[in-house]
Amino acid sequence: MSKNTEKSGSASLTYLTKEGFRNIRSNKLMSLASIAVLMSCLVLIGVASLLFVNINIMLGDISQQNVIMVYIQDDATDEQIEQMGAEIQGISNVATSTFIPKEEAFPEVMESIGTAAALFEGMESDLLPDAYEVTLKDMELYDETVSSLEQLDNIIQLRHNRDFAQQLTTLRTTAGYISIAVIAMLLVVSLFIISNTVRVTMYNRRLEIRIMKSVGATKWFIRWPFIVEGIVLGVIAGVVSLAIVFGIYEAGIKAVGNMLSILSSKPAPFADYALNMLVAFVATGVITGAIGSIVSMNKYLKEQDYDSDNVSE
Amino acid sequence: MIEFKNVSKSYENGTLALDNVSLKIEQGEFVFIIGDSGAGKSTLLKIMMREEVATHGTVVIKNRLLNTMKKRDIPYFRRHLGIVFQDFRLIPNMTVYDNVAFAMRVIGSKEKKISKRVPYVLSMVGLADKSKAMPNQLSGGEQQRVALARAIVNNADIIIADEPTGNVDAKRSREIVEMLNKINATGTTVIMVTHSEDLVRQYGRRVITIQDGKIKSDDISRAGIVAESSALPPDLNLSARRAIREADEFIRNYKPEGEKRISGGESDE
Repeated sequence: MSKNTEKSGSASLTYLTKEGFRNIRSNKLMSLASIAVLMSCLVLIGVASLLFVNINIMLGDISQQNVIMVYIQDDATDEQIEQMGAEIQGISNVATSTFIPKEEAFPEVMESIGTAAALFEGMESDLLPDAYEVTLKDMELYDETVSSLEQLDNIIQLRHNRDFAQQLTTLRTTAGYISIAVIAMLLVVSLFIISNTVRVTMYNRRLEIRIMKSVGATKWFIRWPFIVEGIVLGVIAGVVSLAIVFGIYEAGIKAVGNMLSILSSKPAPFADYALNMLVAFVATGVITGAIGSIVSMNKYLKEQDYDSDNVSE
Repeated sequence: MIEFKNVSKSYENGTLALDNVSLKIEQGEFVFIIGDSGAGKSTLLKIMMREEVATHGTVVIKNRLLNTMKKRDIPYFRRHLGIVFQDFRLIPNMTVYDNVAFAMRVIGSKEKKISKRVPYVLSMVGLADKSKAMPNQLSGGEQQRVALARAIVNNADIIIADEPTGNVDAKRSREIVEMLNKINATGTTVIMVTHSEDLVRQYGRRVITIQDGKIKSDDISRAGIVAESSALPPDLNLSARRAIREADEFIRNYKPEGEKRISGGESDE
């Protein structure tokens, strides 16, 4: 017998890779359809993720504005005030604490009340006490932090808005759950659509697979070009999706930018998430492309499977 | 070379496709398998191709027991076979050349070898000038000849043709059988399944008739090639048999002022 029964050690990876690219070219329509399906899924997931990132940031910014004011007794000495500052910083959930001397506090309040400030004209600027303005790291630990602050010596009182803080925390947690649920749902739907697309592609290519089997191509020789094809389509879809998400995001920011600035919140810069998103997109594309091909091909590669299409009896 | 011993095959739905079939086909034979639809012909071929496994009995092809063959060995076993289907099964977006080359590429042959072998095989089936054509530009008969070229391009020992004349007219059918005859003359075993008893009658070959999963008749006395090849020493290898046969054919067809015969292309052997 000739060399045709040798184990195909000479199986060239270059040929198989080239074949993968050739498959893409010769099945243009199906390749385009696969890219479009994968892209729609990735764009939806990408836009949803960025939306939730921004909602989270916005809620975070709003909570940061909900400061706790610690008013200090007038007879407290400079050392006591300084020590109090150190103690506040020592509380683990405190993000920042800023000392606001009474001289600064009065003009600030005057400014914030606008024309009504005329009513307070001629009053002493040390009308208000010295204070520490405290911001927190985690709003969920609001109550605990307030009780720790209340333990401090030399304080007149704390000014805080517990209800608002609680509402914001609830809102943020709810938004978090919703975002996870929506993204998970989109992922499931995407996997379903993508797996169906791959299945249709494989169905269209069953003739090639059958011919390869009948002339004695090994399973991996049959699989490899399809895997290359899946990977290439995945990469293309990943990169293009990122560009589309960027476009949608920038347009979206332009549209709602003013509203955000009213809330004194800034949208998350796309660049901060671009790399992560690109990696995630390409990985999703590659994994779904490659694994999708392998899984849906197994049906056609199974030996002993009864091939009902082939019955000519 | 091919031996079925008390082979039965039943499918999960309870259909008994083959019922205690025993047959032996020697190397270099040309065998027609005929029978009505549902008689079990295709199952017989599928078992030969190791697409199906016999439920009972043993199948030995080229000294390999197919019943217990490991899955990973199946592709290497199939390289001994050249399969021709009724519906041609050409890849529509590949040229004639690439369709034939495809069979070599997928078993890892080098391009250099492919570029020598494919034109030779195409000229054998009379399609040397159509190598750049696409399958849809060819007639049914031509498409089947491409399929035939693909089946023989890897030097298969056994050609299995499943109703190769089913989709072509009578004249083209004869052409295809002639071509299979030519391939058989080089020592390759040919097994052809057909519905057409008329076609079978024109050639004095061994005919196995299958009915209801059983062998109804096996006209082994007409196994012309077996009788002829018995004149050659039994231990002669395939290449030697081919060489002797080609020389014999050359002498028989030799005309001093005759046209030039096709030659070459077997450089890889």
